[in-house]
Amino acid sequence: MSSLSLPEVHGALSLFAEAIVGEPVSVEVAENAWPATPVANAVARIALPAEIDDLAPAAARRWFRAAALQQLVALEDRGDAAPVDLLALRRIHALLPETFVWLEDARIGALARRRYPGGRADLDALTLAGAAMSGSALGAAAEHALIRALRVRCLDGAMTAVASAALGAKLIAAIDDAIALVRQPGSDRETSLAAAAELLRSVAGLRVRIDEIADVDGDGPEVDDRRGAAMDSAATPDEFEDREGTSGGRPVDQDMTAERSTPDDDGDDDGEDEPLSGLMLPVGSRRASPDVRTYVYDEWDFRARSHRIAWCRVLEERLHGDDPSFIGDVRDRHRSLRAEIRRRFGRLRPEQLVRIPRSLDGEDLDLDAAIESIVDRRSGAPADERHHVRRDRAARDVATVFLVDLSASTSSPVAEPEKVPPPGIDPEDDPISYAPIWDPNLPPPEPPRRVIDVAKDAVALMSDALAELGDRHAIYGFSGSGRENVQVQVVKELADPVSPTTWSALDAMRPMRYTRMGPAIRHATSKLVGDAARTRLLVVISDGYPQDVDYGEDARDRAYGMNDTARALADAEAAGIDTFCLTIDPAGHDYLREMAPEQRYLVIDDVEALPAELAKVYLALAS
Amino acid sequence: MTDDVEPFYLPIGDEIEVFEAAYAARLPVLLKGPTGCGKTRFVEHMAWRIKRDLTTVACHEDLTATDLVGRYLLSGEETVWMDGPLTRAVRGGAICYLDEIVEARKDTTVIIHALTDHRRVLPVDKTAEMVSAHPNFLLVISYNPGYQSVLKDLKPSTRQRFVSLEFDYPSVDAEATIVAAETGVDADTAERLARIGEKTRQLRERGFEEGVSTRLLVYAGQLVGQGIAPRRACDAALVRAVSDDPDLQTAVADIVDVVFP
Repeated sequence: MSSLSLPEVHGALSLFAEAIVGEPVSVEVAENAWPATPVANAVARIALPAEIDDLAPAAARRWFRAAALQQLVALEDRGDAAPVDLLALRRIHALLPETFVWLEDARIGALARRRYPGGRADLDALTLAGAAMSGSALGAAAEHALIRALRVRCLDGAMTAVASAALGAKLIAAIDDAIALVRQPGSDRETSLAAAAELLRSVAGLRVRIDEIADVDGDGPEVDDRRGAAMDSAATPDEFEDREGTSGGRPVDQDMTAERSTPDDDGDDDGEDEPLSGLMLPVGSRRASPDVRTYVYDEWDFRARSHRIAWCRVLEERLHGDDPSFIGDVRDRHRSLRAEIRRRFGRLRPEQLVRIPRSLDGEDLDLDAAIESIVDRRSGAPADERHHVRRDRAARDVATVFLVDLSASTSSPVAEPEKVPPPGIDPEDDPISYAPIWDPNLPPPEPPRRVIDVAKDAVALMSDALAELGDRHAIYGFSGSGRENVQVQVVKELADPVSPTTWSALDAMRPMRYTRMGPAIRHATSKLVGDAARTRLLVVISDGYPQDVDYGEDARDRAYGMNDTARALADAEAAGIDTFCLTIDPAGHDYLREMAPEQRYLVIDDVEALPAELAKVYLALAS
Repeated sequence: MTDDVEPFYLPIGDEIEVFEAAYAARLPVLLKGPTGCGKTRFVEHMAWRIKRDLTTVACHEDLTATDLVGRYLLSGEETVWMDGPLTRAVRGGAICYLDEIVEARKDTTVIIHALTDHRRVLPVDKTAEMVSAHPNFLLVISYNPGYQSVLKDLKPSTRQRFVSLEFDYPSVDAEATIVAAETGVDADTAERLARIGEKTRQLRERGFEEGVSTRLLVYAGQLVGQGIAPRRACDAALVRAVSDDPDLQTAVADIVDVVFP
């Protein structure tokens, strides 16, 4: 027995979710352990536990999938319809949201079983587990008896005799009728709502008091037994109040209860509920990779005019992320630029045709071979049948490494263009019109774009376009602190195909520490030197001076780092690699002049121009 | 070549009428659509319907104009001219279907230009001949804008010589009908296969641009018809075929797994 964590299955589950729903679905760690049907989510989002314990990996995976499926069918079924406003329901009746949510859960469960019969067994097992789960795990410390009964019946739990007697056969029958109704084929959200309203009406008819009952005990079939036994035997079936666990019978505020026990309502109902035992804290998007590879490189000391042998240690590791939807955002954000890049790349002439004489098949006869063939035949010698000339096109043979600076400074925000008010209006006059608009329905403002975000966009656009063009390329990020700790993160190696894994890894790039460029360039060079491509390119994208805690005798000494970087670039050129440095520097410092030949660098002062400039640079280098 | 048996084709819109009208006016036709959605079958069906021979050339990246037009061969001690499939169709009055034309080398698109306008001639430079098209001749080309690399886009000057018919994967119901008709599997299995097709196509932006084609669904159905269990049939015909990405394969396998009982 072992455990399986959500990040391990996240990639495939996200794709599965998108396939089922038809749009990207955010797969998140559950705050509420029970996978209730998302009825009130404004965005396509499902919640799953962070980890499944005590199951074999295959079984745990099926558990994840079943938990996802139920929620996905709800999203699939919802289509373009707006999410249900549970608050509005609560204004109608305090118990309406919960009743509706549980009936929706029953309806979606039945729909999922009908639509995806292969998932039926897993869904049944999940329902069984839900029924056996403790009350606290279900997120309801306080719960009305009706809702409790509804939940037990929705999860196909048997009502105990005592509990049934306490609630009354009529109410149980009404609950079962409602569940049976919503489980029928053809039922929809309105059916659930109508059934919920009808159920509450019948409760009113039965004169069950709409009191909220605080209950700290767990629930489930056996627990239900105890509850039933502990119930006030004097209470009449249609007028009972569960006093267990309440001190002095203080009724819990109805509003609060309805809101708290509505799963997936707005996600802020955490903090009070105990998480399911065995769950881990939410897991971040990056996994620590166990396979860090170490490389050692020399460094150039321009003062001593010699190399410091084996001076720097490069730690290379694979970068893993879990959000391949990144590329979709990039494509949306740069729609016109992407089209432009595609158009320009379309003009990249494939390399020239080569004439291959003496072929079995081809456009023209190879006269020399034809004459020889005839001579051979006349002289009785066996004739060679290969007497055509064919023209083959050599495939594009380019390998490029994009080396992206991940230093801490890349986290600085990109200056946004100032908003200009319409002409003729003085913004000072009208603070309301030009002040930020506060609207609870508006999504929270986007975090400011940082230099690294633009760099990631630029590299993603390039990678996307190069994949179409068929040019091989690698993407590395680099940073680190100190000569012993130069970090190179591999998003994509030359041999890797461009895939969702590439996008999620690229998305996972984060600003780190310093910029020790020399060893990173040497590392990228060593990768390119080992490649057989005819054209080999190294493109360095950085945002400032080479800099590290010990890059030179003095941390303020820029000359050492610049000279080492220049040397590393020159070495790469000597090894037959074309290099190019693209630096984003709003101040437009021209220090690259000292590091690279003039046609081998570009300083960009407008960060947002990077994607377009990168494409231009590539076109110039690779054509 | 036309067959006496009608090739099964389920019309999705008015494509049959448009094609017939185009043929009546001898306007060349361009079929646009993703792989395995029924373009080739449509042409076969139309050739059967209007009772013309069909010459199909599956274009590939090494296909040159010479391959289409013809070449000199050495036979004994003399060179003999051998018509290519396009020239034969032009002379004989067949429908010539150039499948995935943009895959072929650029010189192929140039030679079809004179065939597609009012001239209706095929210049054969090696024999210094202008072959006039037979009155029954029609040129049909197909092109898949989805996965073609930017290097292989159809030039506007070529594209604008054709009547364009756009194809896409059919709806679940239509696709289920097609799968059932093509494979003989029961309606329930066909519908489930069609559902798998629909779901995987929702991942077009996620690494495989095309999704599972109708053709692949038909393959899966045929395997089922041969007695292979549906999940295994889908694994062989769909899951392994659509992508090499392990996550995508797992996701498609999951879809198959939940859709079949």
